[in-house]
Amino acid sequence: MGKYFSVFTLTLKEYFAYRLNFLIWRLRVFIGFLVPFFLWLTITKQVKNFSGYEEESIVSYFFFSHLLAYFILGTRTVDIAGQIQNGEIINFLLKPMSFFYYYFFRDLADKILNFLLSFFEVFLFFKIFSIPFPQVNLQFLPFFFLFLTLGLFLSFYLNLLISFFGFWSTEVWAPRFIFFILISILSGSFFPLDLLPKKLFSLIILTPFPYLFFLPVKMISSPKTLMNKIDLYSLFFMGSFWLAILFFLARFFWQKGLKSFSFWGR
Amino acid sequence: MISVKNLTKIYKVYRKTGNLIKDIFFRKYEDILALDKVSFEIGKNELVGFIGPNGAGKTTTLKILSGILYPTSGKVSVLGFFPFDKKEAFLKQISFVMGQRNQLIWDLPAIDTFFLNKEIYELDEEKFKKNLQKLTTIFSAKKLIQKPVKMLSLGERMKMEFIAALLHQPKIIFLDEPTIGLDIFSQEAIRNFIKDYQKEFQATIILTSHYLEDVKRLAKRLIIINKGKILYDGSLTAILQKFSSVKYVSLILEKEIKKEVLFKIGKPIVYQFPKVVFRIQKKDLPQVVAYINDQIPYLDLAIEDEKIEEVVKNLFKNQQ
Repeated sequence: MGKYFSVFTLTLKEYFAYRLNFLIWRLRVFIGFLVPFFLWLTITKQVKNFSGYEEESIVSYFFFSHLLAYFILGTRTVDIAGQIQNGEIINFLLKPMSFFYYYFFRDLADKILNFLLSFFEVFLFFKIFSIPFPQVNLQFLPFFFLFLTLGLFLSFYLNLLISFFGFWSTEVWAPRFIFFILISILSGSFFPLDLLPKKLFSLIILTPFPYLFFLPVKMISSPKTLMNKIDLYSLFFMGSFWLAILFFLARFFWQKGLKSFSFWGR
Repeated sequence: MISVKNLTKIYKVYRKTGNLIKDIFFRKYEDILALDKVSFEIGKNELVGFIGPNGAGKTTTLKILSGILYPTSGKVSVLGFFPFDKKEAFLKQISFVMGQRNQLIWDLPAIDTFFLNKEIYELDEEKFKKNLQKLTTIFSAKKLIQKPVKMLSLGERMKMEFIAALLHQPKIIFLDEPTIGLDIFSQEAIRNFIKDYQKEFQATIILTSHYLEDVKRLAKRLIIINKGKILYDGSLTAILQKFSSVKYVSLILEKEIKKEVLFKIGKPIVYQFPKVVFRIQKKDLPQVVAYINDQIPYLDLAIEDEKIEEVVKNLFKNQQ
């Protein structure tokens, strides 16, 4: 495991080589948090109960969503498609280590760094604007960790799959962009998904996207409102089913890509 | 150590037709034969030079031998492994240095890549320190390892590449154009290093280079490849015997003599008094030397083989 710990620490070192870039990136993320936060705050201030969401619960949702967004969705796997195209991936293929573990630990460094900074940002923001800190729902903490773990792995394998598209096409940017838009809407980063009509919500909950964001955030902010609508054990089962599928698909396309890709002239 | 039999590699390359609809929905692929039933064996501690023009199949061969590419057909065995399986035990015994690609982490000092490789190859502290010390001493690069890679010159970076690639003391080293783009001093340093390393660690090395000088200075055995086929596999000296039919006779004349006397040997390729150089057929050498001794007053006479570069160039020309 020592090799992967080194990957982890080196990824952190790389970030510190470009500190300003990283800080500007955090500013962009923070602005991304402010927009929906103030929008929903204004709505819930005027409509006291918006489909079961009050001011306190919407603040709680966006507080935790900012903390967890890049912990779950943040990834370095976006580099992979480019590395396939320019042949840089060859460096990994020649090393006695798992490519999947390598990227998982790289992602982990990225996630932890982003988490610490987002914690600092929201803490400061809530203090400055004297917004009371939301309560953590301790009763559902085990479910929170369960869904958080599911979200982490689902996000990892989904991102890998998108990147492996690079084995077959040089145009990886378009599918990644569509994927990003899909995630933004269907994972619940713009609004809590249980605000949607019941039928649409029941359909979306069958896809892997709500596991990336909505469910972990919901488990720690206001799980009880969700409990009335759906059984958590079935959700966990569905998430595990998606994880198994994505795990095998990622491995399958990795092997197939390596076998068919020519690295010609690279 | 390395055994290759009837190795064939066909690349499928996408060809644009210019018609957008066709290019999206009915893509056309063309087969490109990169290696055509190539066979050879390489034993322990051999240093083999692999030469050929661009697109000859040199790098493709190295990529198959190191497990990057999957062969279309044929048998490949390296250290008893099928390389594409990428078994840890196999990868720990090989190394691939590419002149046009680097494995160093661009934004960090090379020492960080070395530490990462220490973990990846599971080297113990003592072995790592010893190897690092040795390699940095050979390259006089003790200070360079602390400088961010992006601030190193190409030659310095190549030295770091070598250190990163050899810290784990690989048994087989694939070198693909390791001196490309380097100045003559760096080329010399790299060549000397390869020679010393092979001697000290009994490593097997396959070297491809555009600079025949690299191969001449380092390899005893030469494999010439073009259009995916091996044209020659043998010693450097034997290639001259086999494919060269000419010799170069150089003279430093004692005094100016009549052109007719000189030109009786043939038209010289260099004629600038007092120097004259003739390119003659090997079979004519005894008669030519006898004629010179008899008819031409000279201060110095030298007989030289055709340059390997010329022989190789003619080989490629004949194949075309």
